[in-house]
Amino acid sequence: MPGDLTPGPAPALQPAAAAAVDEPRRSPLLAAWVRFVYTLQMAVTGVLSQPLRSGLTALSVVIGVVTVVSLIGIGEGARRSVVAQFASLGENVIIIETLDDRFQFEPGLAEELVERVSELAYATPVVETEAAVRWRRERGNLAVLGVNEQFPLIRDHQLAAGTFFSDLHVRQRSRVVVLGYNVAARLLGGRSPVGQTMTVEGRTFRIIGVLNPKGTGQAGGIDDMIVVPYTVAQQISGVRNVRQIWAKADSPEQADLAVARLGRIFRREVGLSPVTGGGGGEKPENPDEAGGVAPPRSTGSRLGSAEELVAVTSLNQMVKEADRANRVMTVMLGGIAAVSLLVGGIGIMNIMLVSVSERTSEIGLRKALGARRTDLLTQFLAEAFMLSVAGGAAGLVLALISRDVLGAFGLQAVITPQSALISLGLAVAVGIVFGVYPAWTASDLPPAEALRRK
Amino acid sequence: MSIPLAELSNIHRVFRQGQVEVHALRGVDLRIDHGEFVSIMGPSGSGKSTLLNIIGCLDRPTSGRYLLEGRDVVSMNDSRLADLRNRFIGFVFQMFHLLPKLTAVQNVELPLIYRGWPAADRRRRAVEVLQAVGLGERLHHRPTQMSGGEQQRVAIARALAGRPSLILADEPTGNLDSRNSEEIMNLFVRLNREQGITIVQVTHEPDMAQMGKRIVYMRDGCVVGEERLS
Ligand SMILES: Nc1ncnc2c1ncn2[C@@H]1O[C@H](COP(=O)(O)OP(=O)(O)OP(=O)(O)O)[C@@H](O)[C@H]1O
Ligand SMILES: [Mg+2]
Repeated sequence: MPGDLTPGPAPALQPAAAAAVDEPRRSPLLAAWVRFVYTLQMAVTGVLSQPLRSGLTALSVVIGVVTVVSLIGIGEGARRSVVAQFASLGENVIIIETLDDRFQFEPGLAEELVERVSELAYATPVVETEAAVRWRRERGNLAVLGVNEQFPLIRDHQLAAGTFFSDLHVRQRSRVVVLGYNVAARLLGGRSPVGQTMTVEGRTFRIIGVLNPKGTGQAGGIDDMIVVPYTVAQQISGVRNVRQIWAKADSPEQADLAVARLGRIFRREVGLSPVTGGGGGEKPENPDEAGGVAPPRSTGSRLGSAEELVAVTSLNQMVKEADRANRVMTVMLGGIAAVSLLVGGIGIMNIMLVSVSERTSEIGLRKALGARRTDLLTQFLAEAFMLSVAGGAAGLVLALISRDVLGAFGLQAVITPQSALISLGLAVAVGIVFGVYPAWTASDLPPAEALRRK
Repeated sequence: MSIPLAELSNIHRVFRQGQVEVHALRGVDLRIDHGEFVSIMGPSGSGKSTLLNIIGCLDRPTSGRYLLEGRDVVSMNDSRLADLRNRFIGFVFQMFHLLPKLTAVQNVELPLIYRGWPAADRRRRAVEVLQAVGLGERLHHRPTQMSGGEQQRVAIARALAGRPSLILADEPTGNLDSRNSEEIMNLFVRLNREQGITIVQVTHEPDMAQMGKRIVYMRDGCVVGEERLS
């Protein structure tokens, strides 16, 4: 049975009068806050009361974020390793090499180029060979690099111990050797070898220095080589001419100028000195080709143009190109991944549509009882926001895990704070954008209409 | 004469479903004064619910004039209408329309939430009205744990919580047995008599209609007659 109905005067329709009955004056700010907090509570309840559905929605965001972060990470990882590799080769380095085995440089060309091309600061002929090496009871074969005294300046090498050989050593064909870091470590177990001797191809060499490590696989594996004056390397290999000259400019701008100048030199004056035929006592098959000193263009021989004989490459340029290619790849990978985020967004929209249409009569009732459109919009947007943030955060965690898994398989992925923030931001934006539509339609229904639906 | 609580003139409501147009209301004139207890009767499809929805600002007329306490509601925007419903009108539906996941108290609190009352205040008020309708023992039950009559009393408590001037009830006893129906009607009568709350209900049952002060008859979207009860 109904009990006592609260006695009191008949409430009038005026809001102020109605409020005066038992309603203390409350600030509109407090009222708005109460509504807002309640709306958020409803959103949380809405998410938690359908764990499976919420989980699936968040999952689509998780997948999107994992793909975005991982793919960007892989692209960035590739870019960094390429850049690091090139950086270890030295800055503003220009490599001049013959492309045809039958044509090689006079070693003196290195010096000549530094004189003729003012932008070049240093240059060294490069002789690469192999030698049987003995140190105490150890013996084996090692790669030998023959260069002049400017080599450490060109390739940015520091010495871990001792000194590098000098101009004099080069000219006098001194039997001195500078060890790559790994060679020194392997042979001597950490004790400084400087001042000791080792046998290279049966002759005794004095160890005068040890290079700092560049890292495995970096800078052409210099850590595992020994370095001798190129004049000595010529003797070891029995080859007089060289296939490569490494040069260095003082700045990137000068490197670019030098590359252009060198290109012109080799195009016009290829017959002057740089290309000489038949290295290493090899017998040319054809007397025509043996006269490689002649400019190929002018003779019209089958040798082709100078550009095909000599390549002048700036490492700066290569770094830039590799970097650009990698950036393009990163962006493309990111784009592909963003599509999966978009799919995640459509997943959110789908589920929000279902959840909205299931709750249409509830929406109608709430509107009848005084919920405004903004209350409902806030509620559904908060749901979409929570789902996408949760999915995004879980996606980041998974991306970190997958980075380590990829790393174990040798694929280096780099997750930067920027890429993490960007993809998280994208996830939330996608969640909100795709959450807006269902929320908008739901809050737009007249309450009478919404209440009719079941 | 004081201004009427609700004054509808020449109200039309046309529903459009694709090509088909349904004229649910065809020029309704109706005046409801403060303190009245009006029962609307008429055959199914005659537009009773449509009219009640318009009175309750749950729907807008296609054309016509509607003044609620002298104010033109047709021109108000949605959020002003929401506030108006929240403060002045209580709704009771045939299907109760309680939220199944909420307890009785939480259901009753709803209008007070949208009015911005802090939790403690609205809880106190909800308990108070639930006790007033005889559900002091059922505060924390969910709708599924209550009988139809109890559910409808929770719905009435919810309608009363915000101290409305007007209660609109669309077949409030349509889903109840006669004993429960009688209890609900007695509750309405007392609310009307003791608190002066204006009540407009739609009913199919003459017995229920007889408990009010006036009966409005509808047919084919028009008001076709009226009867004042002593
Ligand atoms: N939202 C709507 N869309 C289309 N037609 C509607 C809509 N609401 C009501 N109608 C139609 O308007 C007419 C009046 O409907 P209404 O619900 O007002 O009748 P009623 O008198 O309440 O009937 P009942 O006694 O069966 O509840 C009916 O023909 C109905 O089909
Ligand atoms: Mg009806």
